[in-house]
Amino acid sequence: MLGVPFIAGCSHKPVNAAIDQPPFLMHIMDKKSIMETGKQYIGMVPQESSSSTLESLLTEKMDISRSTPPEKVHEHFDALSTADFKANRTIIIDGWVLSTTEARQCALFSLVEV
Amino acid sequence: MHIDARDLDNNSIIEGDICIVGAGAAGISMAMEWNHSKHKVILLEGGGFEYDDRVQELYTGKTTGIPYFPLKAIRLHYFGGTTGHWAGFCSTFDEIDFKKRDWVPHSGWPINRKDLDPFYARAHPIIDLGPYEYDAAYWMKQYPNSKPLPLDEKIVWNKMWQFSPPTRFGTKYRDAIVQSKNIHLYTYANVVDIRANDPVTAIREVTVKNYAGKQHTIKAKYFVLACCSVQNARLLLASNQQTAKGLGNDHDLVGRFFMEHLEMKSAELWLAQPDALQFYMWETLGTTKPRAELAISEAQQAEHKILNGTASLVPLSQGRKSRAFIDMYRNEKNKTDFGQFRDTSQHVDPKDAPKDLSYMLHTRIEQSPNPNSRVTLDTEKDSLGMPRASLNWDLIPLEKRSMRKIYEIIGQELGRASKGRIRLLDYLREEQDMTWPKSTGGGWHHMGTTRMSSDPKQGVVDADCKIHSLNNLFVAGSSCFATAAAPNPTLTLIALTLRLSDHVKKLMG
Repeated sequence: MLGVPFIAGCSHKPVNAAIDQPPFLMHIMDKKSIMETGKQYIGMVPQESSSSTLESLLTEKMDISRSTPPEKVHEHFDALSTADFKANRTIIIDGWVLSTTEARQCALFSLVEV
Repeated sequence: MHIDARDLDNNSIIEGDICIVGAGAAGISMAMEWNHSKHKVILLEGGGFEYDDRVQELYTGKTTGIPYFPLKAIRLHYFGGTTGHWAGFCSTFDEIDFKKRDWVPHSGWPINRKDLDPFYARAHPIIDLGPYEYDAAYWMKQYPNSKPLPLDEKIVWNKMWQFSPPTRFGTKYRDAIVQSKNIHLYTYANVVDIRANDPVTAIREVTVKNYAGKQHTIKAKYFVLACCSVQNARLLLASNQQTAKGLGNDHDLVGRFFMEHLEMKSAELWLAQPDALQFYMWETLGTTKPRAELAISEAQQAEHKILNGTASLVPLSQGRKSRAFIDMYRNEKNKTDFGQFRDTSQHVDPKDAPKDLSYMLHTRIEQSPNPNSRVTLDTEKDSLGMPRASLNWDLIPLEKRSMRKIYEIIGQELGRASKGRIRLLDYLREEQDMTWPKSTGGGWHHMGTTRMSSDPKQGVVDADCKIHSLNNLFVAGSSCFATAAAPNPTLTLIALTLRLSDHVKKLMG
């Protein structure tokens, strides 16, 4: 049997396009900045450097399918970010004080939106 | 009553009940408390009624350590003193500022906030402030259309500032003092030496000089130094004919613990929706012009072991253009026009206030009391023969760590409230980086140098602002501060001076 080894960091598009779009940051950052932020997050948290790992972490609290409307997805991640801030699950990247959720979204963006 | 000391016969001897050295905010506030009393008050001012560069030059000195403003420029040496160029920012110290904090070396005052409250209220009309109200809830009721950010006040709260016009003491109080029957103002009377009795337990007299070559002696029952932090220390250190280390300096504390406020651009705030944030803006709320700054709660300061500081807001476009204070005022030209920038501000009707998406956050944070941040005497002497002052401005990592943490906390709160995000400026981004950028600068606030403590081994003055080792020598003003707190010092130094004045009145009977 020919085995194809799993290549760490192998990127695939997430099941729903809105997963890698941090709702708040999309208003104030351009795509390049989001990508940069994401790359820095991966540098700081290398154990989350694969798109599958990130997508899994991001979707563990909500079933998101291809057909989930983007506004529902954004609402969910907004709520997750707010919960992160409440619980001090934050990280400083390039001076930005961010929720872990939105930092992961940036990381996923940097891997899949090439 | 006014006498120009240049016109007196040389070697005149002047006697009074109380001699106040320095006619700035502290000296004039104290003198006015004694107006119309039965006591003869001698008020000594080194300059005249107008700016005179020959007198101002006496304040020239050296600076070492962290780059600081020229000593000649940071204070004004004429009647009215540094109120000639202050900007009028006023707020009260917080309760935590008086407490011993185990994470802030040398913190703790021998008095508390409640001890100052009645004097804060009395200080208000002196500098033409509104009602003695600093509760944000009060101002929200006055201006119901101006809303604060929806943050948890147990973490980030709204600390209120009021703005003096700014009151120029030289203008407001000149006539009252000149016309007073019992206040004897001597201009061109620079105190160059203080002499005590033989056991050096009480002050006998002070010597004044001026550039007209005259020298006079002033005797009084009580003496009050009110010349500002740098000059109070300089005078005590230079009065060393009887004690080599200077007066009141048995434990080598005079001049030490010089404190400033670090005032620097620190972070950007990006909002979810544009907002005028009028509650945090200048000149947009009526004639009393209160303004809020974001402050960190006492509990958060204790949890994270940080200093007390606040963040003020300006629209980002304006904030990015503004230069650091240290760059604006590097030369020796006095910023006599500094107060003007507020006078030309337009009053903005709240409904016309522009809504911005982003703001620059500007820190004002206390400097931790640091014995290595100090005023000493230089070897060079001024034209009156007095050693010049030399300031070594020194900072410790706690200041930078505190600044970074303040914005982390504000960022978390803004995120929790779904209101916005914070981005630290580059010099605050690396947690382990304790270096200071070139933009590091103070607010021209000079505090400490004759700090207050009930223990003579920890402070120069006691809880009544009396020099520990001298029965009749007191110090008025911010040189008595044991810690710097977050707000500008003028309101508090006046309150402390009024408290001192009441105490000396009780002693006089």
